[in-house]
Amino acid sequence: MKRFLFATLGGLLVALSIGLFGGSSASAASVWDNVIKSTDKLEIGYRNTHSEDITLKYVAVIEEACGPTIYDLFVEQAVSHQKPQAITAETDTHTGTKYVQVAWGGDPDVIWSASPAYNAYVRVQYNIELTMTSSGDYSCSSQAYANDLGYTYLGYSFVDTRYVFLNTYNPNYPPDYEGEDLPDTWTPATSFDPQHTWSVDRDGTLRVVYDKNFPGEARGNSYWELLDTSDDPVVELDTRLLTPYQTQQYTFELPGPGTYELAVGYTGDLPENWEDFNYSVWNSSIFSIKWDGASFITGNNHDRTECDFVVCYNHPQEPLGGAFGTLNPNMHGLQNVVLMPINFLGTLPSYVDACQPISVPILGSSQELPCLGPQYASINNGFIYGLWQTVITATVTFGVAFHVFRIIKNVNSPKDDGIEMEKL
Amino acid sequence: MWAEFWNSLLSGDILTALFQLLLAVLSSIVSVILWPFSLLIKQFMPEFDAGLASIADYYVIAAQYMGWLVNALGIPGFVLSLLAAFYLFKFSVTFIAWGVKLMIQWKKAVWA
Repeated sequence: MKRFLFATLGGLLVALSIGLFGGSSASAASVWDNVIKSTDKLEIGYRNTHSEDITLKYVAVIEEACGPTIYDLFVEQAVSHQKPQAITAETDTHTGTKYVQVAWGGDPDVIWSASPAYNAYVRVQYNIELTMTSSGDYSCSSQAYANDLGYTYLGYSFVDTRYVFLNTYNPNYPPDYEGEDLPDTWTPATSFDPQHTWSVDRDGTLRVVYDKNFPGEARGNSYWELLDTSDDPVVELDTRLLTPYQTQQYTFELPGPGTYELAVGYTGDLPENWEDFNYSVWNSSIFSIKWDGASFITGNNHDRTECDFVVCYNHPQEPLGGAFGTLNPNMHGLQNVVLMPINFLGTLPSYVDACQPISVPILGSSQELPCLGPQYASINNGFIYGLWQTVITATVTFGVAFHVFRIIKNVNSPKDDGIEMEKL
Repeated sequence: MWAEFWNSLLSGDILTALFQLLLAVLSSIVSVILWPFSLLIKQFMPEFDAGLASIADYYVIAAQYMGWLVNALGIPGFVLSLLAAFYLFKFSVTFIAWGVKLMIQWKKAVWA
């Protein structure tokens, strides 16, 4: 009974402390601290049916969807940094449709407003909104303001939340502003190394699995090519067209024992005026396969004999980064069994602001479940949501503190740890 | 993992760097110990190796849904960071304690 009362009192004290001294609202120094939300990803989509990550190709999408006039203006004025630009991403919480807004020109300063709710916006000369149609095609609506300027919101507004991808307007942060900074630069990764694994069955079936999405755009002849290099001249056996953005399995048939070369040529999207982005693309990879006609053999990126790439590396890729650690699915063998759970734990903190709607099969059709955080926050102005988070935080903190104390207390106890203790 | 440790250390985030160091040390030791066994399995039992490698797929799948689940349950970031730090501490503290006691034993054996 005493322990229960002590535990309850401890929990209440922790909750009270967190409520008084913790939480972003207690430490906020300006009323605009919660306005700016940033993102490093641009995605467009139509409801739950189509979506596409255009982070690395939004310039190409503007060229394709908005026409040459707007594209030329954008490249000449915004990409070249002649005029300030703001790029934001937004998801309609009711329909799930995703938009990307690109705006440039106009007044050079960000305006921080208090009406009708605390928000930030810029006065712009050109405004583009990219999205998708119901058939999955790119859609662009553009506006040019001749006399009066238009505007585009940055971050949270009373209407919705536009996540800021890039902003080169003068931020002019309000006094005592301690919120998120407006991102004024963005540099794409300087190298992409799509992961491939291949295997040859005992009957000669060569399977190639391309298991990471390449965020580029296939141009020209992008294909897998199988060559028989056993004799001179080299004989081309078969080709397969490469399809990006998907996990693909390609199948070939090896005619018999011998030495083969599996080559993939792929060109990424490299539009003009992107020199300052230091953009690199994967060009080609070659795998050498020696088959004895009977064995089952496998290989992956580690076995590449050649890689023509600006930056190309043969060590395991680290795709899922987090603030605490990385989830590396390229570990093999027994290390997988032991280390994956630990690595997974290490990536837990990275999932806080990483909500993406998920599709689940319900009653024979795929239904998309949206992120529920905004709905929770809208109930009673987020009071119940905040209280729930405080209770969880207090409970977990108390539990962790209790167990940490117990572990430290029992370090010397031979009964309570897995390592054999000896008298010192 | 070592790269992340150096990045955290250089950026001044000592606490994160410390935990990343522990994670990197733990992972490196386990990798070194299990590496010859993994090579043997890969060489002589490729199907079994493929099966072990597919274990990672479960975690990758879980990682795809974790963001939604955390958002749906309303779990704050501090709680996740605390849980990750606690389990890392739990996995590593006995190892560190054992290491310290081993060093003390060696010291006593040498100086005795």
